Amino acid sequence: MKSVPLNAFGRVVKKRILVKQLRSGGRVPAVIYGHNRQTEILEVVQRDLELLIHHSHSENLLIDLSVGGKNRLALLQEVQHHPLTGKFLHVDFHEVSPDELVTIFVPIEKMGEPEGVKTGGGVLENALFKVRVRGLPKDLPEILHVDVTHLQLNQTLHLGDLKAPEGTKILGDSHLPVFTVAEPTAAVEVTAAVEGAPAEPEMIREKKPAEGEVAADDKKDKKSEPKGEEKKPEKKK
Amino acid sequence: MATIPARVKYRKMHRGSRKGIARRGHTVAFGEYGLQALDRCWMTTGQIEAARVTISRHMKRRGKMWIRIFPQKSYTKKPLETRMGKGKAGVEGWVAVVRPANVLFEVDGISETIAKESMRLAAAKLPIRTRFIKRHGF
Repeated sequence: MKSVPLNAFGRVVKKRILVKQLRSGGRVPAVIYGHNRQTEILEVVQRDLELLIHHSHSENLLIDLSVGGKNRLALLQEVQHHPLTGKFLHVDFHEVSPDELVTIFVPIEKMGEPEGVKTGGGVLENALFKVRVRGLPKDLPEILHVDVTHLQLNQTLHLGDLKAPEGTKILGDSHLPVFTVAEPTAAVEVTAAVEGAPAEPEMIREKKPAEGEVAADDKKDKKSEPKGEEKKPEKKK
Repeated sequence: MATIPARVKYRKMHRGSRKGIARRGHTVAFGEYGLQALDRCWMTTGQIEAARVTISRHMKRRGKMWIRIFPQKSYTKKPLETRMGKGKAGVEGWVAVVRPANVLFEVDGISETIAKESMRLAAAKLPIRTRFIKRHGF
């Protein structure tokens, strides 16, 4: 991963309303931590960050962060987006040393179309979207391209089959499935399924009385019934 | 397709609140493409089912589909020409509470063109504005 430069500035504002004002002013609140240093709060220019992320394959970036004239090497640990607009809300930088091993999550991207999908009519299922990769910051990949063209019907590509870039190691259970070519789903009659569904849900009772208790209750009720009939309420005139 | 809950503790519910935007269930989690809500509504079982059928028909049973919402909430309605009062009415149907940013449907294993078209057709069956999103969106 090649390091890219970014300017950051020290931040004073912490309160929510002030941070909102910061965002409306075209800045994004950020934080830097790690490498046995004290956490610092920062702010970065939104436009710079947009350009940086939109021109990369993923949000995994090694950044040469310039804070107050000092250069600090950091990984883009987390970028928080607004759920609806997608605007940047907050950025986490994880400071690293160039000669220190780090572990990051790298997204997986498939390359090509599997044989099983082309000829067998199967469906390519993606079971794992990110893998943990450990290595030096300069060796870590932004994204892991996986060739799936050789996959036949009912074949699975496991985590152990993935090739890690030079100088890095893929962590995790090697038997975990990453891509599977599954058989096509059979046609299902929609109307039959809807007709078979119950009209009303079943009610959950807190305590269901046991059979013995029910029988005893019934006897009590039967005994009490005739007495109830005898005592008729008097009519008021 | 299960269109109502199998078991419930209480049949009738409070109306609840629909304000705010979705703080969970707003990202594409299972597939590659998704349909995201831009408005809020009570989405009925019929509307969800109509959209599901549209997507599966257009995909011609290729690929895979996920329905990210479920009608957990019951709603009641008084019969016509009934005076007010006399308690809460009977259950009329079941709805899913949809807030802006909720991902409604997801698909995978098909091309982007087919996914986009199937989502467009499904969106026409829904009572709110929606948009097509990708896993690596934004």
